[in-house]
Amino acid sequence: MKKIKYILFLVIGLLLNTITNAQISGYCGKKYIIRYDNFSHPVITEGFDEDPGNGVFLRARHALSFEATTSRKNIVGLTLQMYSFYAGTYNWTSDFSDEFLDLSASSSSYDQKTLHGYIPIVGVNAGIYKKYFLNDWIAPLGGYFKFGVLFNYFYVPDTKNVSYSTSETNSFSNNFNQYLSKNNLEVSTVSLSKKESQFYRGTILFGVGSQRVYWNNIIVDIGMEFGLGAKAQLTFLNLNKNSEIRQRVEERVFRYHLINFNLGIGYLF
Amino acid sequence: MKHFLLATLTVFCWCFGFSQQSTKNPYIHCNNPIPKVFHSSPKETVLDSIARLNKNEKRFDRKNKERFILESNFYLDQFYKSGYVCFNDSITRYIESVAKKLLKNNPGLYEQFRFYTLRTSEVNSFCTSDGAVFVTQGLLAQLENEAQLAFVLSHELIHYLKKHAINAYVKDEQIKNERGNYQDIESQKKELLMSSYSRENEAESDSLGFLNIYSKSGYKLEAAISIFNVLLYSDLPIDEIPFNKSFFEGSEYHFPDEYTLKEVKKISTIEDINDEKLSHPNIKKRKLMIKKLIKDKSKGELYLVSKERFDQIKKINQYDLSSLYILDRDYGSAIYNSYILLKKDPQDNYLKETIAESLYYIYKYSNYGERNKVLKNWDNIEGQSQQLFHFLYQLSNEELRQLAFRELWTISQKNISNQLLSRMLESLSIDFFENQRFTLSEIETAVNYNPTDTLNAVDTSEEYISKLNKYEKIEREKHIDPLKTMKLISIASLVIDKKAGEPKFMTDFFSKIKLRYDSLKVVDEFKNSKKGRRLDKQLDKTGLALNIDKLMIFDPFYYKIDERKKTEVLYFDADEKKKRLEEQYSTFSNDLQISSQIFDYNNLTETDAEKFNDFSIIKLWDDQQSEIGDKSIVNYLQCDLQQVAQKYGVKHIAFTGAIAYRKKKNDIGSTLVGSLALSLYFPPAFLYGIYYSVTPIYLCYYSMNVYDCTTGQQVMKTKVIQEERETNDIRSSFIYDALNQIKRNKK
Repeated sequence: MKKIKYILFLVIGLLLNTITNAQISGYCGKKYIIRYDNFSHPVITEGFDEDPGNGVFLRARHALSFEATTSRKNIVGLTLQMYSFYAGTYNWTSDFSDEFLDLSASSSSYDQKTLHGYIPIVGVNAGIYKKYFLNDWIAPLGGYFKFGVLFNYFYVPDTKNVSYSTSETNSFSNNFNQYLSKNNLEVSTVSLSKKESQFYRGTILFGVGSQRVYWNNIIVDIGMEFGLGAKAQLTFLNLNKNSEIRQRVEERVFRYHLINFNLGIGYLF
Repeated sequence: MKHFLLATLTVFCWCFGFSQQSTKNPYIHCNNPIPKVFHSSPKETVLDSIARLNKNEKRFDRKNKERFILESNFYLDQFYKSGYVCFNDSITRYIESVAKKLLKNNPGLYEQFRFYTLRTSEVNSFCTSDGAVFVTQGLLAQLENEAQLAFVLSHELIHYLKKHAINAYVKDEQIKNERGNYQDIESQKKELLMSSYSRENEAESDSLGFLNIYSKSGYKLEAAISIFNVLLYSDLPIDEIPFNKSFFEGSEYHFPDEYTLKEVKKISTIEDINDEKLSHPNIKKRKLMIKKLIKDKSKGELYLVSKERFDQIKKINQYDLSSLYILDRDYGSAIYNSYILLKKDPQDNYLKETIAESLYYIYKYSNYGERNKVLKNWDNIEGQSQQLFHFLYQLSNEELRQLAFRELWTISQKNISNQLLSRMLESLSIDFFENQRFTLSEIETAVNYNPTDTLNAVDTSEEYISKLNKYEKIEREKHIDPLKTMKLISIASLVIDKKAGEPKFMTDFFSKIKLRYDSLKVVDEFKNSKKGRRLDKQLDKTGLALNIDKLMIFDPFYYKIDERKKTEVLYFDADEKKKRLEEQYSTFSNDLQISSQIFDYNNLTETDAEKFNDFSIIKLWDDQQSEIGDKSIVNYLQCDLQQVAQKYGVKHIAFTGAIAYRKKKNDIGSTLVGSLALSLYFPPAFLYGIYYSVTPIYLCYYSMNVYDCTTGQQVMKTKVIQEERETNDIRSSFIYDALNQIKRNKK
């Protein structure tokens, strides 16, 4: 770990040294940007396995980035992102604990008392990207293409400590019932997960956008970002099984990064 | 640029003759004090003139008058600062003295006018609505006496007094827009109506100018008729002298007889042409009208100022014409003009130089396949000059190069200090190496060769060969490489009239050129190599590193154009923006530690005539350079620019500016449909679609061209076009980046 830190420090140091001595124009001599970005993608939720409620939502991913202009046409950025989402939590009885696909064969009844609603999952991304400015634009101003990679980290807390209000639980179970009846499914019991989980993933990014500068120091960025990461298809989540949680998380990660509208604001110096 | 300005001016000015054009002048210089129009913005004048308009006038007419005042003043502003207009110089002072004689009975009226000389070979004069009278050098070179000039001025003064320019503009707008009495008119008839009104004004200027001004001044009345002959034959040279190709030949240097026309076309210009579509009545009508007004032809004097002065001014203008033609890229006319003057003054080196320089340009442009652009088609020319144009058209590129070199070499030996000739010689010689692949030993052999022997050596005529005996024939076949011999002839013919010592000079000269050629070749080879091409691509990313500390930024321009408005050019906004642009250049230059001097006409004071003359040289140089473009051709004003640069302690000059452009969108429908479709997934897209549809198309353009004043080489060529509104951030980004590339010293 020490070695990695040392190498990282060395790489960043070399990069900054190169930029400082490169006599790059930047924007009127200003080459660095500290910025906040909001990446949002619209989703339609059914209210039980997604966010608590029905409707169209803009799911946001928040990013704090540092960008450095490396040439007349390029910017390199380091980004740290954070987002959180919910997932419905269930625990199948031993009869059906293995594969949710077997649910259709179940004849047990669904016990509302053992339903515990949602579990908050926190996602953290760290990544690096490069912006290539188009035609006659001079970085950091104007239209650009962006390519990058993100390292995704997810934390699923120990659900024993998560408590929900009665109304939330009722609402959730009501939605869950509707879902089951719609799909001719039945469940006997649902219980809490007993332990926390962590996952790591990678995502490749591609983006387009345009940056403008106001009052010489404020940079505003509007664009779109497309990401490709791990993908899975899973509706129900058995918290006793890490593999299922992972699948569920992967599905959400994929959706979180696939198409995003980006609005960023930064300070140029 | 020059042609654009002059063409536009015809809309706002009232001309005496037909059309007009450009130039440099080795004799005339502007002197203090500088008239206000040359060093200030026309903003105040415009506002003042608009305020003085009659408010009770019809709205349509008043609006058009306002537009006329606005547009004409800003166009004139560019014209005053184009480098072509001279004030307080010897020629203009002479014109003023003639005008004073004309208006001696009305000195108050004289004060309303300003007189200027135009550096152009065109034969014309015109007057603006604010009383500025321009007389071209081309006209002054062709006039026969002072009285003719006086009549021309009388004519122009009436245009001003009768406000012909502004009234014609309003009338044209009425006709174009079918207002008032001009409703439901066919488009063809509209043009006829407009030219008819113009002819009426011209006739009025002729008659009133004659009656009210000219006839009362004491000038000879008959001269008012003879001036029309000058106008009638204004497209002809200053004289009609037969051209003989022997002018370019030497004792052993001849051109084939086929290069000579048996006879030249006769001049077919007639007085009584159909003037239905012309802006001026035909010459016959104009002459007749004046004849009717003259009662006593012999009355008056041809000269009221001075005959000597007139002759002197005429001579200056005739000599200047050769340079003016060169600046106009009319090289054939330049040669013929100098040819005519050399008949009177065979020892004049200036005239010989202009001939050599013109030949250089004809060769150079021919080498780029543009001979027809710089040489009028000989078939369309009438008169004695046709012979010269025909001759020049017959010459191959090789022959032209030889001829230009011979002339340049000969004249440069007489004037070694002439840097322009040296540069042209160098440029030509590099072409010799490029085209004929000389080696230095070949040059040495050739320049010391007896030309006659050389010519004989490759004489392939049967007559020559039949004279050789068997062994001579064998030797000839054995030892003579025809290709090599051709090269030797080629070089030898350069010094065919060699004098003592010249071969040595030429060998030295070519040795230097060879070195220069080799170094250029190395650069060229590198550019075309894989590495060179890669470097070229990289330059786009990294930018240039010119390592320039001192820079002259010359008169940055800013144009604001809105196609949606009737007055498309937004002059007032642009005026303000230009100031801001200059401030930015200044600020960023300081930030980057570039010692920059911003040359702006509006920053001059009225005692800065010397600076104004320098500005004119820079302007004219730039005009020439825009014609030359990327071609490897020496700018006619290169040495003049170098001197100016040295005077201000800089080596590089930048021409820069911005254009903000706006126009209406045409594809609103498809945009709305597209945004509607996208809004199914992302609702705000529809709002954006509406916003996009209602906003116009914006374009902004920036350019920065930097030249080395010593070599004339373009060291930086940056151009940015964005489909964006012209905003402070884009402008700042471009300016800073351009200056940063200029300052950077990274290899």
